Amino acid sequence: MSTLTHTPHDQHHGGDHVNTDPRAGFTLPIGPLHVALEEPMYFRVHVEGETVKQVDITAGHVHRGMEALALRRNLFQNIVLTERVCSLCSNSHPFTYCMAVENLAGIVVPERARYLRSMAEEIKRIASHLFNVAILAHIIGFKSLFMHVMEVREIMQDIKETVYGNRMDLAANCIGGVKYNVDADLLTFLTRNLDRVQKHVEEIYNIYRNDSMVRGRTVGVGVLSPENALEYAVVGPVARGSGLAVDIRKDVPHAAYPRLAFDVITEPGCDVHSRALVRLREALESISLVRQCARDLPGGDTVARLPEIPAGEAVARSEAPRGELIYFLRTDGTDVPNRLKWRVPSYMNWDALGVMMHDCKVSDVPLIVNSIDPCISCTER
Amino acid sequence: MLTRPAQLQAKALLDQRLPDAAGADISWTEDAHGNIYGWIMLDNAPRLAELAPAMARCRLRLCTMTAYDPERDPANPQRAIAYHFDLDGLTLTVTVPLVMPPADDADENGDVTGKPEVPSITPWFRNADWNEREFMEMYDIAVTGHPNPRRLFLDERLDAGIMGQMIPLSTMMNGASTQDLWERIMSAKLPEGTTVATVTDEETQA
Repeated sequence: MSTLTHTPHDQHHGGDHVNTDPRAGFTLPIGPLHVALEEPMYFRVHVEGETVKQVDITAGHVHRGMEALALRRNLFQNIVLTERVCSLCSNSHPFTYCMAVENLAGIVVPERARYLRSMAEEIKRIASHLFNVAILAHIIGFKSLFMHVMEVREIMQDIKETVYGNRMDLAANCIGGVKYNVDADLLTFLTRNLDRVQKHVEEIYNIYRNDSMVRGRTVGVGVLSPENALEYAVVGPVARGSGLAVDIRKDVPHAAYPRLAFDVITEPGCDVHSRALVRLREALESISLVRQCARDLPGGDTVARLPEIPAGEAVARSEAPRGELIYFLRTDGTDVPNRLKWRVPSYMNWDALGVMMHDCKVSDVPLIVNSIDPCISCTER
Repeated sequence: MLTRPAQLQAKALLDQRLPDAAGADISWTEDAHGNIYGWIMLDNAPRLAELAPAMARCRLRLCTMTAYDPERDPANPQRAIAYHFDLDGLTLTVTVPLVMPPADDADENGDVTGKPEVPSITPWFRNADWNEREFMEMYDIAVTGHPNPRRLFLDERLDAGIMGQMIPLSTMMNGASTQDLWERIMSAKLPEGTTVATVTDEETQA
């Protein structure tokens, strides 16, 4: 296990200790507002020379109290609210929330809706993963690669806009099914554009795997061993980049995933490079999943008849682009939840940054932070 | 619908190892896909300290914790915590009801000084750290034995549980848009002896 002194077990109360002896290094504040951060988070990085020895994270700068808001809205209004927890995984939130309501009330979602739900999830996953690896290229100064990946991602944005009418919030889910449908023309448009994306993603994957500049900045950087990954209970591509084959789509079958063929992608490198490769290979798997959904899409209803929602408790989980997303719903027989709690994947991955940054160079800090694909609006919600 | 064999094995293991430590049986439910959910209701919070090492030995993974008020009655606040775990796709929820401090345990202002208490499970589940710190500050729950009980989201200068006192902006905006408030603002701006009604009448005639 890492000897990094960051983590809370060893952190003094308040975390305000600053060593003023220059021979022992100094403390470098990064954030909460910083050019390398897209959202506010405060890192106190203790360095010796250019080597990071200790990291302390302070969160809470954009806490919005969304879970409290959810207790003032009815079960339908919360679909709209949860879609706004985050932008990049905006579909995963209402999707999992609706599954929690369905589990609680015993609602069986029609087959067609299950496929349409999986299709929306995978389309969002492709766009989210491409965004993350594009930012990696941006951080290492590979601007042409950054522009190219973002240009390819733009095809996914066009797909979202054409199929769902929106580039980020798809508004695809409702309790008991979906509120969108596709016809033959849309499916043709979708598969034709996926052909374009696939060709590019395969090329991009080869660049990330083999390019000497990408490898030089990412291989062996931000290492998280499988043992540490288990101890910190990290999820999603961070866990799979450390060789752990965990994926809620396989472990907790839901939507159309039990009917679809796909592999759980793992990489053994345990570093920034491995996490990027996991995301690119998963984007290719997701393209295959969307194709399968389009090919096998059954007919029938897109939404179930809804019963009265009883008092009770339910849990639902899904595999969001950043990993396991879990919703807990507690109802008291009214149409307003007694409690709605969600735990986002980033929440599990922040703490492991302390291990990944141990003995890294200061210049690698933004690269390692980006490698967990952090979502601060999700974390603080 | 097929229930995954791994979840069935996990269910058998938990049924064998947890009820004694929990002092309660596990009740089981399934969703439409055949996924298995276990539910344990503990009698009291100290029991959690006995159950946590047994759960760690079963290699359960902590997913998250949910603190909540089971009744949502402002006059009689209550607290409970649901702990959510995973084992090979099976989801286990352990609910711990907390004892609220007696109402006569109050300071000179009448504010109840004690807090409901729960033992920390961070010694067995490292990722419990953030979760416990979050409900300490959001629900004003004391966690005994936590290795690092500092604030997670809220500034140290804010009271724990302060988010429960927040008034939504929409509610405040409703108050700000009443006719009464508007007239008082306008009256303050008008010369003495004039009323909002006079001005409105003149504008209407014009």
